[in-house]
Amino acid sequence: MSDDDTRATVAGWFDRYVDDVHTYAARRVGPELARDVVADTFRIALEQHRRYDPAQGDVRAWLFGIATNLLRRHWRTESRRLRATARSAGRATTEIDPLLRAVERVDAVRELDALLDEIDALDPGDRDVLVLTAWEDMTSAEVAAVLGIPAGTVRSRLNRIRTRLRASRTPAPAALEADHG
Amino acid sequence: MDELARFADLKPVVPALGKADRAALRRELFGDIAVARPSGDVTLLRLDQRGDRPGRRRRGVLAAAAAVAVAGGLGVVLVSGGADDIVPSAPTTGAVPTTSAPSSPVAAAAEVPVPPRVLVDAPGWSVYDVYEVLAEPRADRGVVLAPAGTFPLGPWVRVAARGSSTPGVTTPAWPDTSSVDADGLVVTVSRMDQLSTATWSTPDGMFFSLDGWDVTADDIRALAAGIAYDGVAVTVSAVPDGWEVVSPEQVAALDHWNETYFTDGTPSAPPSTLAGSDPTGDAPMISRRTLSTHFYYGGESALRRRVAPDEGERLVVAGEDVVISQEEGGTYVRIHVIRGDWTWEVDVQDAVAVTREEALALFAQLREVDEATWTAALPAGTVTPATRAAVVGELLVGLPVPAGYDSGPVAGSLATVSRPSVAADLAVSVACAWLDEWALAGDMGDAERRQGAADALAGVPDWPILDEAAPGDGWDEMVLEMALVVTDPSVDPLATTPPRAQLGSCGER
Repeated sequence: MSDDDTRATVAGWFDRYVDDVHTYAARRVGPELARDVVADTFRIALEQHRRYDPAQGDVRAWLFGIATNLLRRHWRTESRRLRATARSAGRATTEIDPLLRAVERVDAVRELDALLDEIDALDPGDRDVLVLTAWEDMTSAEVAAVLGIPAGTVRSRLNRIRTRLRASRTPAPAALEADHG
Repeated sequence: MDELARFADLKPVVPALGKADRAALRRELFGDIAVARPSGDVTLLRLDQRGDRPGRRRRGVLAAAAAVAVAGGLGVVLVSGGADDIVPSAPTTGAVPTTSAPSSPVAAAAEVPVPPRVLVDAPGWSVYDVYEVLAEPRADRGVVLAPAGTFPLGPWVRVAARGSSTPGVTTPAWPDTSSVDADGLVVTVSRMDQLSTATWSTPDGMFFSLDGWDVTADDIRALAAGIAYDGVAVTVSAVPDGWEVVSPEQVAALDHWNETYFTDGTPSAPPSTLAGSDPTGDAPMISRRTLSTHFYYGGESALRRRVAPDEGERLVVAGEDVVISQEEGGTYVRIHVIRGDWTWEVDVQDAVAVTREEALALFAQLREVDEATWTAALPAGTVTPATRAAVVGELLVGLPVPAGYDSGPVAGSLATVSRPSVAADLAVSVACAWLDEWALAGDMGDAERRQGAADALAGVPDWPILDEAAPGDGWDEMVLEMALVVTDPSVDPLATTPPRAQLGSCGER
């Protein structure tokens, strides 16, 4: 394939998937950085288009895989953004229900903080699985195609992630006593 | 709430890439390469994304009710709104009653025909996928009531008796839950979108459950007051004004449909772009033009629901009375054929454009053929009644099953489907069997046996069958979540996480 053909092909991919890739990146790191991630994703796709293997997944999954690798550079930004979103969500809850008892608000905020702490503590691969599943609504097979791992591994990771995140919901009795004492 | 759902709630709303930014980025990356005209190479939508069809929608709705795992005093029970209403996992102190013919007026039974077997009699056209459900009428599915003449397109409810020995069964923990008084009965009603569930106990200790579609709390209150159990079957002593009892055949008809997908096989151009087949096998080969046929229950009333009065045009084509409608944009034409209470829907779709004349010409090329001819034309790997038992045997190799597991219901189905569909059915069936085993062992106080079942369920993520189980449709996720009920005691079994959890339950075996 000539260079022009390659560019035409990847341009076609751009036309078709740029919005998906941008939304995915913007959710994780915000619109500002997302533009750079999108640009880099398609630059890499141009450079490495020969490495795209249809047998391993569709083009969209391949592009998401590139973007996911790029996004790992920005995990601190992602973490900050997530906490900002969570704070906004928490504020919305109390605005909707101002009569929510203070202790319940405290519990809700603490629970959310604990959840975010656990998400921060996830290794990058697990965090990718979590985001692709919960935000992009991908199936295990689709996540597997993006990350280049077996679907069984995705399922195992999801299992582990659920267990870890669930544990974050149960504060230690000592913590409860300290907070309410 | 499931942990993934909690995280999903944090999904930020982000602005879309603006047109100007998009254009600038494109110029930056690709210079002045023209915007690609839609080429012939599109990957067709997956089954669950292809429009709304009564069969599919109905299945999803019932499954939403089905995907409720409830832990009662008798162990785990998976409640289904689908093929079975209840699958008790543990011995009960009294027999769980079935529901059968009510004592009230019953709507005329509907004939459940065999779906027509059709092929496209045009060069280059072939079948690439087939999916069908051929449910048998069953008397133990509960009594279904609906406003007269509206079933299945209007509101309906299904009521089942659960016996007097299931006090631990609870309604789903959907946020919208309330109690209503039905002539002294306290009925707990839980609602999610258009779906409702309700439970109540009568003074004699009988426990009833109800699932309904598009009904109000008042409807449920009126119905609950008229439901009784006579020792043999559920009876309806007072059908609300304007309602009727739906025949079991009509109920079964809803789970009776066929979908067949054809492609002209035109390769994409250029072949090196986007030309990948879906590695999961879920999506069809890329092609320029496709035709799909769907045969389902509904008839003229389904047509009225799906084609607005000011849309569609009635014609006679190839001797059939048809209604033709076309999607704006010109890539999609739908042709409805009404055959009594049944609807035969033909979609012609093209990657670039298709005219109604082309679609009608293609429609005229459809030929009804006999079963053998149709079967011979199906893609390699399609599972027919003749090959299903062998395929199930293959899929069971290496899959741990509890002692006494019976794969007969899966192996004995008369439906013709793809191998991934069979794998999905079987994976669910085996997971349910392990859940039954786990609950039964608990009731028997057999800790070792219970641990064995828990260990088996802990291995679900590694089940190879999940790699075959209709990838892309989410069945693998659903089976995994079922296993979590046992393997992670902190899981709230009532907290479902749509849409994955809506895909089915043990009752759909």
